Amino acid sequence: MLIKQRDIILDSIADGVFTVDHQWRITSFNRAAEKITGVAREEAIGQQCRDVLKAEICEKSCCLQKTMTTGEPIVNKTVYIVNTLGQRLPISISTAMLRDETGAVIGAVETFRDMSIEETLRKTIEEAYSFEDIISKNKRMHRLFGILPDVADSASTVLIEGDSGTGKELFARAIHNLSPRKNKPFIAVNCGALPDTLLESELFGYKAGAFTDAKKDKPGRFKQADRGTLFLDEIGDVSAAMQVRLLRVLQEKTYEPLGSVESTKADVRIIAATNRTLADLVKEGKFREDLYYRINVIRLSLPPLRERMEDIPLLVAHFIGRLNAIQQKNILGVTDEALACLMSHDYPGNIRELENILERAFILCKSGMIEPHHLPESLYIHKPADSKQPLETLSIKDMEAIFLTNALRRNDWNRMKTARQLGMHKSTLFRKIKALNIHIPHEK
Amino acid sequence: MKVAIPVCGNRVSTVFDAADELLMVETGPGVAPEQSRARWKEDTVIARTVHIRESGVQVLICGALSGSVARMLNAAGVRVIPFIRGTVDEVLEAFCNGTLSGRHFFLPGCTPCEGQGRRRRLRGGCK
Repeated sequence: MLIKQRDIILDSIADGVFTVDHQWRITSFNRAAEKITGVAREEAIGQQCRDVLKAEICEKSCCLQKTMTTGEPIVNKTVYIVNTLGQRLPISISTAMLRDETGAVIGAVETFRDMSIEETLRKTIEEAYSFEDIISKNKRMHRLFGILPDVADSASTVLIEGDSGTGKELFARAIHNLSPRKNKPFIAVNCGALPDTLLESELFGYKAGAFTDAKKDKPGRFKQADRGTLFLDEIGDVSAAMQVRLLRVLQEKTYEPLGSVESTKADVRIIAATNRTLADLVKEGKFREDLYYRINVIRLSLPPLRERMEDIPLLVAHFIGRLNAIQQKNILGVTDEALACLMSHDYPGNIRELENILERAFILCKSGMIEPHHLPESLYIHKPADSKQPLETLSIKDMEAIFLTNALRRNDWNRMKTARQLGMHKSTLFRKIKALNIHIPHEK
Repeated sequence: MKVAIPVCGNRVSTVFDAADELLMVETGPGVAPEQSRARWKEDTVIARTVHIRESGVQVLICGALSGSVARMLNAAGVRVIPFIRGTVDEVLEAFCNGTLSGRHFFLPGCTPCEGQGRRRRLRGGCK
């Protein structure tokens, strides 16, 4: 077969395909392989396959090498690669010997399929999120990333504070999945959603005969989370009586199921979360001081989305990728105008609100890019500061001016604070204010 | 300055996660590099990240590395130079001479201006 014809056939395949010679040098590399690895064909040809594929198995248990040694093909082995953008991708690989027309072995062929969509769906179903799913380039978030390994490695109780929708449970799951307890259960309980009596039996379980209709023993969440992690959401909403019971578990590491006369040992790591400031609740006498100090061993404070606006483009891209996978659509992204609308919003509901806005846009946008009119009216018809112009007729420069004006207004026209929030240098902001002719009231 | 390189044999490990050993190099202006090599006991990425940080490493030169791990190391004050390939000797020499930005030191498709390896991060070296 002519080489040109072979390349056309290979390029029409959706799976990545490459071939190697006896020295593991790449001899052909199709278009899908370029797309998955991020390496252009002309850069890949002649290179060692491990340098191009960058899979974890390349160094120690190379599938191509195994096939070449044993003559046996490998089918659908899932491995992870790192592409040129630094993204860790799951791929499914298959290998086979490559022979010429006389039957002599001339190398090997590897085909691989991007399993990112399946991985996204699996994560969504199993809620098996890792720290890699926390997306941010915000400095405060980076400081949290810096201490995350230590937090995960320790067995101490963690308190996560942050407004509703800032990703407290995602953080808790990431800590669990990084910790030595990662192969044990992660159990989440919303303490604010249950009345006191129900919460007690939910957390500690009950013995048969403890109350009417308690026909058999029921294990509580502490039991279910044995040797794993128990995530107590909305801890600030639990009653004074329940606070006493929780304090006892944290102090004694034992608890009694309802109706039981024996104590049960609790080998559970507690991660508590609240959208309120526990220290304030302590001052108001609504939260026990001793329990607060038991919980507040490691405190992580998650910033609201309005204080990490630089993350919005990243989060938008992440949610679009996820929604494309779940809804089997091919939305390409958001237009600059739509992004400007998204960036001008304050997000009282934080990341959850942004996710919901994009989910709504996915219903209205059938294909292509998400436009301003796919967004909720409150964002779309929101008149930008000092502008009577319709949004569709604005230039990128106008959009930038609107965005910066809104950011400055949010920060009470404080330029240093605004620069910090936007993650830009103060002199860049000053230069932009001057270039875009933004008026600062009373030269604050 | 303490430089760490995850290695496989005598070359930079292609993937950070797959390295067998961690090479530590103490170097500085006019000082002959002092090397120590240890088997990497930690098997999870996160444990390796903690080990690097706790060893007082200032610069990590490595092969392919996921962005999230790089972010974590950056946040811990470790300067990360990812997507590097080559033998340990030539990579170290290039780092000390400030010539590690040469295209041949980067894995195919990963130039200093792409992905995580920004040009400004590659300046410097030991001098």
